[in-house]
Amino acid sequence: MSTAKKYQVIGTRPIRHDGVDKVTGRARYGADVQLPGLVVGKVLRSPHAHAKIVRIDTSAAEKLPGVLAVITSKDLPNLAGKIVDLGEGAVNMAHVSANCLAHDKALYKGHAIAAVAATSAYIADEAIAKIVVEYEPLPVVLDLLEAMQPDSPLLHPDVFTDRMGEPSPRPSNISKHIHLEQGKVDEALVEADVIIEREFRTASVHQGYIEPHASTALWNSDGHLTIWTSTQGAFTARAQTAEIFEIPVSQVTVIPCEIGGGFGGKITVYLEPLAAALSRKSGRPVKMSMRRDEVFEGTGPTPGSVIRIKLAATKAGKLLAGEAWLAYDAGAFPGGMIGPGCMCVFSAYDLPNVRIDGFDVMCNKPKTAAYRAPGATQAAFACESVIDELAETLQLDPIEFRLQNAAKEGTRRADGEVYRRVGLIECLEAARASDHYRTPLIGKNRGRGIAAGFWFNIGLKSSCTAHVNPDGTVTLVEGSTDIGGTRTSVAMQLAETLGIAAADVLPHVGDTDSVGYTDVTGGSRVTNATGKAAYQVGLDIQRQMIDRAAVMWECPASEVTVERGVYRHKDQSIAFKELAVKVPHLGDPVVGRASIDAGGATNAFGVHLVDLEVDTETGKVSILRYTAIQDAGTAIHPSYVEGQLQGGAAQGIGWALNEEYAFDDEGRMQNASFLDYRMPTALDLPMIETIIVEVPNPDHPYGVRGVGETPIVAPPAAVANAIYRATGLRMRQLPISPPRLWKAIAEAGG
Amino acid sequence: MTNVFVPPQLQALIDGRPSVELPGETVRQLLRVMHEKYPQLAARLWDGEKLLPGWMVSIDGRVPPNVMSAKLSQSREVHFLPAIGGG
Repeated sequence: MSTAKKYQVIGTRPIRHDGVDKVTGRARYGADVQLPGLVVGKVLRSPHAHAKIVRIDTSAAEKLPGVLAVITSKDLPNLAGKIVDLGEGAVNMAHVSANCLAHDKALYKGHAIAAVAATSAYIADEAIAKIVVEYEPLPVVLDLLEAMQPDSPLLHPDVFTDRMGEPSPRPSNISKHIHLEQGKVDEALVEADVIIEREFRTASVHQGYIEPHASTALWNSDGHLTIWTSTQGAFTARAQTAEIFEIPVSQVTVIPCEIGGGFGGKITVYLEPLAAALSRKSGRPVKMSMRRDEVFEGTGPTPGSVIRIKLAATKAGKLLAGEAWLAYDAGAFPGGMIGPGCMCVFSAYDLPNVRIDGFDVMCNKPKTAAYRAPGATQAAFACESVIDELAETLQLDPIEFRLQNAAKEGTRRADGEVYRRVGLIECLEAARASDHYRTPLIGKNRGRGIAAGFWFNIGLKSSCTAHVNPDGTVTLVEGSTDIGGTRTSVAMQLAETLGIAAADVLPHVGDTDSVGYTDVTGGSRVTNATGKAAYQVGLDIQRQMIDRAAVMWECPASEVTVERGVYRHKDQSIAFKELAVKVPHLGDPVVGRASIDAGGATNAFGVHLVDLEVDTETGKVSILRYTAIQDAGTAIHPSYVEGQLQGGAAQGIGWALNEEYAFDDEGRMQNASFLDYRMPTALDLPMIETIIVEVPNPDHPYGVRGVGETPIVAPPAAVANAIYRATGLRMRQLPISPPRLWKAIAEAGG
Repeated sequence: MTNVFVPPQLQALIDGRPSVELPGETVRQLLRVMHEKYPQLAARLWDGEKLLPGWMVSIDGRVPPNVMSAKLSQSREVHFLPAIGGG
């Protein structure tokens, strides 16, 4: 049975609740905030990628008329050794604070050194220019393999290599070493008929959200701090800010604004603590917005990587063993997504014997941040490229080879986790049956590629409340900020539960004072976890509505039944909306609430197909046709699912073909604008076709898995595999930009 | 008894074995027993009250809500895994 037939609301495509405000420009984003007495904050950033800060003289800036406050790291508490769990994992708050404002060293070009609040942007800029900073430049390390060497310039003398709680004897730029192992790898390698071992490199890439970071803070004279900000998580922004200032969370209110894209890059705080410190010092509300170059240089890209993969198989095409060595560039502070990289690298395959070593490596680049399936895309590029090469070596169809070895229910992943019901096989079968795959690709220098992708999709904590209005609508307040249309996907689940139309649920994103604790909007978790909370809110409201109906019909509540929003007692019936009109006369107002811990991963797989053509004279790649296939569990709003698949594919294609941070030898980014940092536009891509596979998640009442991250994982490998078919060249370094591909073609004699 | 799988980097703390059998009706009880039998291992995983930051627990392939009170009575295996987030 299709989703649309099984449900009344789920699987339909209602108009999004926030659509009118967004298309008319009325939606309030971070930079739109206006308050009485508002002043402007600006940041002074380091021109050096690695330098000791000998002295900062702010006196001239402070004397400038119109300047209300100047801050440096001295205005923030010393948080040495403070480790905090922010829901998505452990965070060293000293590092978060030092990333917001450099302490004794600038660790990357663009590192914030000081900030100014002034009555105008012009005065703030002038004041920034008057701050004198004496630097002592230090040797710069940009390449992560160089950074791993014992004699490399050391970023942090107090960071040691952590091996699951055991530190290395000496400080190191390698902040973490992860080792995973299952089965008997060495014995399996001996038994193998074919072994392929390759090395891959990927560049640092940015999330490229269209809205730069923007935050406004008001530190009131009563000590209460209010922050309006563009964030993926109001509660995590509150927790980080409170921890940085060592104040209780109840002293901080975070009001999340509409968000113009995040993709993982708006979880860590950057401007919030600076605006707060400036407001505390100036006594005025302070608004700060980044320029695009500040976004590139001062916020987190996702890690560049070096990955070595060894895969072994039998002649018959059975995968026997895999080894992976992964080094991820964390940037200036620890935390470069190496954990999920290790867990994801072989996640699409039923591989009984695996050995994985992963290294989190610091270098003089901006501190990396999450980006859609953080750590998985790099790993999939490497693994899926070798899988493709193995299939070719074994003369097997790439889909058949993957089907033969696909992860399924009962497969044990490298980290030990055993999958429950997952949908990779269904995605591969959908790819094989697709019009795209069955249509021959003809033409010179053209190739078709395929790759699989995986992301966990997490659960964590979510809260919702809802109240029934006397006109039959239901107002829903949820704690999840809406970065991907989740207002509507969550509202639809409440509507389904109550048996009312999606338009009759009025969703709102609450601030940290108006809704219960909710973890960050990330990990593709909101439609799953907050949707589960909305479902429970619906059950809560339904119970109360049954009570009101029982009062109306003067019968025990146990005799009232409800189905698809119609309440019945014997031959009497009343629809939800009609009953809602009567609620004010039948008892207390009806308010539902739910706060849940949704548990762990829902495990979503996708398969991508791409046809492309290579211009061998220039190295330019043109995407001819692209199909993204994914197991959504249940597609609550299919248009949103399709949009996520298209958006992820587009970002992955950019990662594959063009995007990279280009640094000079001194660590200065050379392409910190959208003119030079080449993201794909609508002119570069065909319409991305989508196929939604629905293998319901057994742990969700409506079967939701979440969809937002998996679609970025497969594209680089699919593109690289297609380029091989087009040119005969295995490209193992991202991006496969025109100069790089042209050079490879030329070196191959083409 | 539940088969508790130990990450390879911690297996030296239990004489190189990949797993240990431990009793306990909940994750909390299991960790208390682990603390008695393998205090060095337990110290890497929890602080006596909650999991240390950066860890999560999987029970028979499912990462349960409210992990410390998660029931183990019918479970076969427990894994301690690096916590995951997302973008």
